[in-house]
Amino acid sequence: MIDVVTRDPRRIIEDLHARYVRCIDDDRLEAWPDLFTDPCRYQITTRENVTRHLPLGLIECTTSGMLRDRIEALRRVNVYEPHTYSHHISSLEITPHVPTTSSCARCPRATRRSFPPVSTPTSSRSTALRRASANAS
Amino acid sequence: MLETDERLLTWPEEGNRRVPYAVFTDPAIYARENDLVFRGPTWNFLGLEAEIPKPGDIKSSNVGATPVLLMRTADGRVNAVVNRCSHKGSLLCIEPFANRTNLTCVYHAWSFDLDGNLRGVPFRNGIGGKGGMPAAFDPAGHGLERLRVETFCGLVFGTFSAEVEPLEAYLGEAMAANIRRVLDRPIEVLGYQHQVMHGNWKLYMENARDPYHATILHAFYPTFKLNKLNMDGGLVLDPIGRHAITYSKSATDTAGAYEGGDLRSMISDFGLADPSVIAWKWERDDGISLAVQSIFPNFVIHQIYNSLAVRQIIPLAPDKTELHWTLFGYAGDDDELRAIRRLQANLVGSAGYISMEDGAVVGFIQRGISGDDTAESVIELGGYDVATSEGVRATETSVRGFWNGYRGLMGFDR
Repeated sequence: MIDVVTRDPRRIIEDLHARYVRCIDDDRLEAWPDLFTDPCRYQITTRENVTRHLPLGLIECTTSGMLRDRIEALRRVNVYEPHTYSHHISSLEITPHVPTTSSCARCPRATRRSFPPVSTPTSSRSTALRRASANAS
Repeated sequence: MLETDERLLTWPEEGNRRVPYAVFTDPAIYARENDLVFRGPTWNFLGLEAEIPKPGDIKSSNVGATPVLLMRTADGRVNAVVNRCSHKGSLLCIEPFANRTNLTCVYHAWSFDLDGNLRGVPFRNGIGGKGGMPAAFDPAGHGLERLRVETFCGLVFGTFSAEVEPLEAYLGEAMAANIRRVLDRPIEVLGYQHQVMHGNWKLYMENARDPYHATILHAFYPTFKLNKLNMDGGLVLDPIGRHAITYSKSATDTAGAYEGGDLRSMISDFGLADPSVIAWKWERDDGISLAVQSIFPNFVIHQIYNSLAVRQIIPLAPDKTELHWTLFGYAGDDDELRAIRRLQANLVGSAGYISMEDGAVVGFIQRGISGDDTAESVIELGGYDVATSEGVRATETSVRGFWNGYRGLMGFDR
């Protein structure tokens, strides 16, 4: 997947992000942890917590094992409204990296991109239809 | 308040062990709850003193549907007023948190001090002697509606009722004791979560005090032996049963009941690749590993191993409820405890290994009860009574207690 010819970081990141959202949208969740380093940092938090410098969010995984546990628990342990995802990726911004306490100090660059997922409960036929028509257009 | 004695519901003759589903769906009952429960003789959780440490600090909160501001005055007192301009009714503060010396409405700039007194009315004297407010207009009669406010161990509660007993008496001795136990040292807010649940607020308040579901719906608990009904534990209720604590002691697990049965929740071949998410350490010597406490009508405080949080429910509609989680630790936590609390945050909240299922099941019930005004739920585990149950959690006595308190306020004695 890496563009070995150009080594263009933008191409590499684009490919990574495309594979990332496909794993989720196509329900190949077991392949998702392979896209992370180990140890890693995966956090879902809220804008409010970030703005108020509060460390706790909704989900935080710091190892590959924790990522795998999330998937295994969703598959076998947890009860929730079944749903599917469709991610829409925004344009990619690559900026010089400003190290913070919560980021990788060795990384030369940071990337920013929005991944707003559209979550569709499988029980909701009307929402599912909307998604189908969006795909067709 | 109520003009008539209009009967919205006839409660089943079985009493607290039957709940008519209409209480979760009927808009008229929902509207009456706002008057008789939330604005009635109850203490409602508004926030933490730690959230408004400095003079002028403001937190937006709610009592039922009513928007309320929790504030720290210049001289350090804690106040609460309805977040509604006395002129035309606009919100005075639209941010979740703010720091202000006064409250000024964006609409016509009426301004109020943090005690709710009306201090400024633009063009009160008109322009050039024309227009303006009538001479009889008295700002003293147009202050903000104030709530009675009391704090307990850093928790701030408010009430619209002049009659309700003082907060500590409302909580009662047993409830106060566990709050003192959990909030025995200064706290520090670590994060917020807000979630909308697609169900009635009472379904969540029933759930939070129900030990029956805890180890069945939440497979994570028994699978990792974090909470099982055969551990030593119990239910502690206030005399009415409207408040409840469910607690367990993990060190007392015994074999039986779960193993070899057909409970989905005991998954023997599931193990965590990285168990650090459930690593924990004792913070007290009372052996209590888990204590979830509900205070009627809108408040829950939990200690789930080292995870600490308060939860506030805000009803949005008969079938829609917002749940606010404030996760906290202690100001004196060392690095190890900070790291533990951070990973254990994965257990709770809208995506928590345990708590995600509560939001889901509230929605499943709301959909399940749709379309039938006559059906009712059955709450008979442990018998028919409402009483503290030391040593036994295979009972729904705490859920019956919730309905006992609710029916008393709503006039649903029959």
